[in-house]
Amino acid sequence: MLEIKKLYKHFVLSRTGQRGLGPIAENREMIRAVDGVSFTIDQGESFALVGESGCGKTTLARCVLRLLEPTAGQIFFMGKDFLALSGAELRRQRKRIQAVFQDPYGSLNPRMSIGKIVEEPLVIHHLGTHRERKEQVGELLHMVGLDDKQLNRYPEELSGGQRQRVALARALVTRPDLLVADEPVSSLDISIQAQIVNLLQTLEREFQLTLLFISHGLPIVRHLCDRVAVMCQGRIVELTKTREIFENPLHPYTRELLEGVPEPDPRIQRREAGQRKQRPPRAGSQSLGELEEVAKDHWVAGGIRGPWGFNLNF
Amino acid sequence: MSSVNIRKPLSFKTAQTEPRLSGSGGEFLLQVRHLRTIFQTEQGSLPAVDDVSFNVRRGETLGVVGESGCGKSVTGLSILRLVGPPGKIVQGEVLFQETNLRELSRSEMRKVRGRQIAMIFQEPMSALDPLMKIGVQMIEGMQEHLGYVRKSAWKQGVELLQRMGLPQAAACMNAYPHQLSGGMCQRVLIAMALACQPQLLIADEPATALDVRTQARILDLLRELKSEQSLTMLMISHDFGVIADVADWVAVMYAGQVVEYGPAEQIFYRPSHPYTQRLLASVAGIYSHVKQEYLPVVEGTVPDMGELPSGCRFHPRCPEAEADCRKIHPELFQIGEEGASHWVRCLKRENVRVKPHAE
Ligand SMILES: Nc1ncnc2c1ncn2[C@@H]1O[C@H](COP(=O)(O)OP(=O)(O)OP(=O)(O)O)[C@@H](O)[C@H]1O
Ligand SMILES: Nc1ncnc2c1ncn2[C@@H]1O[C@H](COP(=O)(O)OP(=O)(O)OP(=O)(O)O)[C@@H](O)[C@H]1O
Ligand code: SF4
Ligand SMILES: [Mg+2]
Ligand SMILES: [Mg+2]
Repeated sequence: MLEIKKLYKHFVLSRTGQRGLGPIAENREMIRAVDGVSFTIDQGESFALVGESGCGKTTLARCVLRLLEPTAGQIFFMGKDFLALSGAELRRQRKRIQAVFQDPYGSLNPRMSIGKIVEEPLVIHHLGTHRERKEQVGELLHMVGLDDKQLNRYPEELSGGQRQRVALARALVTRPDLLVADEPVSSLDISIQAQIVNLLQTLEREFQLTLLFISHGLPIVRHLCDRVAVMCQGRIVELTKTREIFENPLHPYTRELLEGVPEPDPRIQRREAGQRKQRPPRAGSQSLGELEEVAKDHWVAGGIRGPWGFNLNF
Repeated sequence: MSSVNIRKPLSFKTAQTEPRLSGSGGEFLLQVRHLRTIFQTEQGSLPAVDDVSFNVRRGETLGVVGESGCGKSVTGLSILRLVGPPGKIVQGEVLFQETNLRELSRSEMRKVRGRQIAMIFQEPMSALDPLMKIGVQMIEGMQEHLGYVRKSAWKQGVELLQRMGLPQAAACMNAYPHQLSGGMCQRVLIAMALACQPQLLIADEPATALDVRTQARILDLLRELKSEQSLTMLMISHDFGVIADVADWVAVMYAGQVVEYGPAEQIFYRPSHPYTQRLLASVAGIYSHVKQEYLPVVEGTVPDMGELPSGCRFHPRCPEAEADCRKIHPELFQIGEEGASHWVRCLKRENVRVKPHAE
């Protein structure tokens, strides 16, 4: 369904007008935000992308949506070279891909009412009659747990979580084949998070919705996603089934990333906080080589030892 | 990766010029009493915060949880008087060190904001000015409140960003917000809030865009500031892991009101209000390691603030609701033994009640 091949996105920083050195890269002139990423997502699959803050997840998502021009690499959507599309064909394919962005406020037009915002994709793509559109908008707002009374409100009149759900309703209203969701539930309360997870799971089952899900919320990833890719400094370091990643993480970075999810239990957390102090600082260097299949469907970046004790990279 | 020692205490120059509010503060640093904030809209006035009361002791953390849209952010903004039109604080007192913030003049309030009470806003990327360099935004507060010259403020800014675990902190100071990732922006906001060493920190979802590792680093830093400098916090979060980690007290809000309030352990292990009980069941579902077909949720939808249900606001969704619940609006009452400090707003818990709250 979606195939990404050796995708690179480097930001070149101009030094003009900067005091001292360019942003981020102290003595480099380039940030390798996405640095040679390849993976495929099957139809109806939900695929999670996790990783430390700043590892390039959002940048990768923006490339997939063609909001950023990748430095190099290829993206195939439904077998077509997505980066080569243009004009009517591009519009046609775009309708099938929708997105929820990390910053819901920044992505909603402040001068449009909620009803208009959710309806807009249907209008752009000439879908349905006026009445059908209104019905669909109402239904979706209901599905994400919003009241129809909120139809006439404006984004700034809503709470953070309400805005996030408006963005989600807007993305789902055209019944896309692929949903790229960057932290779509992070500012929702747990009960509504559970409701959205249930909703996405239903859409996946009934409409074969494919999902590229980016999140720091590991408990949610565990429930929702079929496979997980772990990203580190612009590369994928481990890629396997969700269960495998949580129960048998092989790459040291994955272990670091997954360990110590705060539990909803004050006594455990108090003990945990004491232990955190004793934990050694993180490993400085990571092995970021090519992915190798070390067990069936379990890919790990080269240069680490498997559980059975020999170096996989010799 | 940066090799900064995160356990080093924050080194600040003590500023002599800080405006002290009258009174030494007493037991409670912050007391919110019967706060009511409304929004005037076409549908009438929406009581986003309706009769909210709580106290926070110096050096303690109050966690605020509750459904999306229940008024948590507006409560935080009301304390700092940052609710703009059509919103308005219409009732109540906000006592900070025994001074009623609602009575201060604008310029007095500006001195409190950022210096003595700082806030980390929800939605980090929108809270930063897109046209200004991170560094320039960071040093503003230090220059204004602490009288730092540009150079030392800049240096302090770099140090703070390093402690937030930002790689290449010096370079980040020269970047614009769009050049940073969501989690990096969030850490910049946390650093900005801590820059002037506030006494009270209102943190609205401060760790949502962070991975577990970075989140733990921030929580450790806050814990350290709490024990070493008696930093007092109001922590608004949906993440029950974060609340369990930092909160000493928890207030559960529903439809603009506090419905349950007590010590963290009491709320987590012995929740009393039907809403809290269901919310925690949903938390247990999400945190469970077993994959479920359907996750438990609090059934029904959040009431619209414009059309609140009669009687108890939770009654349309409450499995324990009875006829009385549709008619009588319950008060927040203390339950359990005297001194247990556990308050609940529910008619069916009144058999165990002791006395009303905030008297
Ligand atoms: N427009 C840009 N110009 C320069 N650098 C950028 C730009 N956008 C992103 N970056 C850099 O690319 C890197 C990856 O950023 P990205 O937003 O993809 O991270 P992320 O994985 O989404 O992190 P988070 O979890 O914090 O959202 C960061 O170092 C960031 O500073
Ligand atoms: N400018 C405004 N005009 C009208 N109503 C508003 C305005 N700002 C907020 N509200 C309403 O006030 C209520 C409380 O909002 P608030 O932002 O405090 O929620 P919250 O508890 O922080 O939710 P979240 O967890 O989603 O951030 C919401 O129902 C919202 O719709
Ligand atoms: S007062 Fe009645 S409706 Fe309200 S929470 Fe208690 S039992 Fe439920
Ligand atoms: Mg991101
Ligand atoms: Mg909020």
